[in-house]
Amino acid sequence: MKTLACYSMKGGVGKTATAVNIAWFAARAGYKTLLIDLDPQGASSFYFRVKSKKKPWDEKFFQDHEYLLKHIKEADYENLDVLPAHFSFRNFDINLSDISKPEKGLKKVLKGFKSSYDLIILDCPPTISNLSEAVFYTSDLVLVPVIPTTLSERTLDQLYQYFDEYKLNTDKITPFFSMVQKQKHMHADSITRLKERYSSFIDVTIPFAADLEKMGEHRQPLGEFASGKPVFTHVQSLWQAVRERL
Amino acid sequence: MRWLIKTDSVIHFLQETLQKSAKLSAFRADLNSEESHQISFFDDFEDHIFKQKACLIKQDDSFYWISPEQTHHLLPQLPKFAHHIEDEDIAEQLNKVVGARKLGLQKNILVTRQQWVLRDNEGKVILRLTATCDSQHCLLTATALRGYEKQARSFAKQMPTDNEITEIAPDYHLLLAHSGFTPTTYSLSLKFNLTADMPPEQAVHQYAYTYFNLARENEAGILAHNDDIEFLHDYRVAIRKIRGLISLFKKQLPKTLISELQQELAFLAKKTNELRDLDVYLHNKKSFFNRLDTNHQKGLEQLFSAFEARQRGCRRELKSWLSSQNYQQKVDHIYHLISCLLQIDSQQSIQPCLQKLLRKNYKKVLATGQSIHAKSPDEEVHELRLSCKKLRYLTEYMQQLPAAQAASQIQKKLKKLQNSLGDFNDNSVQQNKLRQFAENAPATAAQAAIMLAETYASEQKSVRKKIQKQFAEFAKADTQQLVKQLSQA
Repeated sequence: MKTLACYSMKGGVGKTATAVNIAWFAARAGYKTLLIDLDPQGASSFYFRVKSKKKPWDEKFFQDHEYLLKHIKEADYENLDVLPAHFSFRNFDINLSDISKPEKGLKKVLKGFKSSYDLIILDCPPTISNLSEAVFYTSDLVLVPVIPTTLSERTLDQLYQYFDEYKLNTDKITPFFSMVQKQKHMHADSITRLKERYSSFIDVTIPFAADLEKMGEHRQPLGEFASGKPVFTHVQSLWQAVRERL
Repeated sequence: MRWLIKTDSVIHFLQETLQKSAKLSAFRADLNSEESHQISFFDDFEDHIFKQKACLIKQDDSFYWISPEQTHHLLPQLPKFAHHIEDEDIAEQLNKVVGARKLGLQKNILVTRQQWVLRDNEGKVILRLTATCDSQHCLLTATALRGYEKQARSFAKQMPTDNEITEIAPDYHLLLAHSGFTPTTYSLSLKFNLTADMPPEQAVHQYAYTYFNLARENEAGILAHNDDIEFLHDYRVAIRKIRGLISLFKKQLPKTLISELQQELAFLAKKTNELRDLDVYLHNKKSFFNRLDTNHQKGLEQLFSAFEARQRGCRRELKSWLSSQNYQQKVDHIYHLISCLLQIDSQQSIQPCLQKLLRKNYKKVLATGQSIHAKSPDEEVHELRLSCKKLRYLTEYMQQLPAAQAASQIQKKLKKLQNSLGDFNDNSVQQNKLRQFAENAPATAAQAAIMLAETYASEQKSVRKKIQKQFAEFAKADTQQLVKQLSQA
């Protein structure tokens, strides 16, 4: 079983779209896939039309694997399950701080899925916190969508610094360019700078595309309504690159 | 969850079902895919596959063996017999169902398979539905998506409960069963309406008449199907059953009548002996080749080609006999002899007769079995085999009486011992036949035959040990208790 985190401390960069589409491709490729929506906003749950039960989770997420199993829902697509977000997930930092080794809390929980899934995808909230540390510790790969702008450059630098500071394995960080608008000079310049600075970038860029935005309207992964569009091919290449690195 | 519904429009049915409940009225059914196939069903003469709720089908030029649990096994081609299948697991599965019976086309049905999904009011799929339909019926199979079991139960509640299918059987089997197909009632295990006070002559008449008819049902199969050896097998078993029963009643029934009937039936059986032996040899050809090393394979080839040639000859002779005037005269005469049983004015009842016979035959089995030791001659083992056989026929017959469950329990206890005794006898017969064959065969074939006979001889020793052990098991107090119970009921 491999664990892939879709993470950025910056919001609106395409984390959820990436998590949803990669999950769809993985499931289509025959991987038994579980997408865990860790973001209390529940955007990926919304895309998959999956709702959480009303009852709050309290601290049970990190303590009761059986309870976790009861919340898993099958997506409309074969091989794909979703653990939908709950608003109480906003308390994850507090829940984690209550356990002895917070960074290991998530890994312990996910271990129970080993026999049921080939791939776990974590759709992460845009924060840097106890939860993020647990995500970094647990994941085999941290997929980071980066919009090629100055602010995003800064955010990526901060992520590397954080990994160094907490002695985490920086090889896990796997950035790729997201929402790229080729006509913008600023994007082109930023891509050049970042590629020089970080060799870990996946050699696939996801263009800014209306179809990605339309995922919310369709409440479906890209492959279900835009499989003939160029952006679909880009996301497919991203999946192939991720698959090779996992 | 499965339902069988009578409809020609699945969408219409689903919409009506959803409208029945306020909770589900905002749900919708979407058709994802639809395909039609001509499904050809294959089975044997006795419809064994159908009766076991399995399927052997052809769909789009592919052949599948489908178990009752709906496991599909792709077969490279349609097997003529179970033992022709290369995959040993599948061959064994099918063999358990059809044995040595030949497989043939049973029925063709045009089947449409539709894949539906049921979506909730947010468009989320909560249930997958497969509709397998012929022109009149649809078999709806619903699978709830994980996490949506509650909604699926709400849907199931709206479905007509009478139409729910709980039996374990493939969809195609259920469609065939509801398409008007009726499996044959032919079976070697017949049921009789015996009553305890029925005169023995009347009971024996009923049994003999029915089994003789059953034997005759196989004549057409013997004449038409050269390679389905089970027609001849069943013909012989039916005759043997009659002979077994009348020999049990030889003291209760008129001696001359019984003796004549025995002679006539023995004559019919004798006509088929050699062919049956050859059928068995050739059916088990593979196992003979596995018994000997490669040095003798050429000899075995010669041996079996001689068997094949003789089998063709025997078959021709038997067919000609079965089609002859003489055979018809024999048959008429046997019917006449059987009917004579009804003309006897008897004061006896069947039940006490059978009970007396049971006590007597059980004692005989015990006495014969107990006298057998490691060095007893083979003849004594054969004697035990014959006694056990009689006891089995007796219990089979007693089983037809009301409240005679103990009879089937005795049969079960007897089964292992009888199997081993049968193996012991087969071993003797095989050895004798092979040695006889060797006397007039060319050198290589003769050598292979002698070697085969040797393998049987060594096997027979271990079978004998098994028999002693199994007899000891059978002779235990619990069997005695069952015999007592049955003979006093």
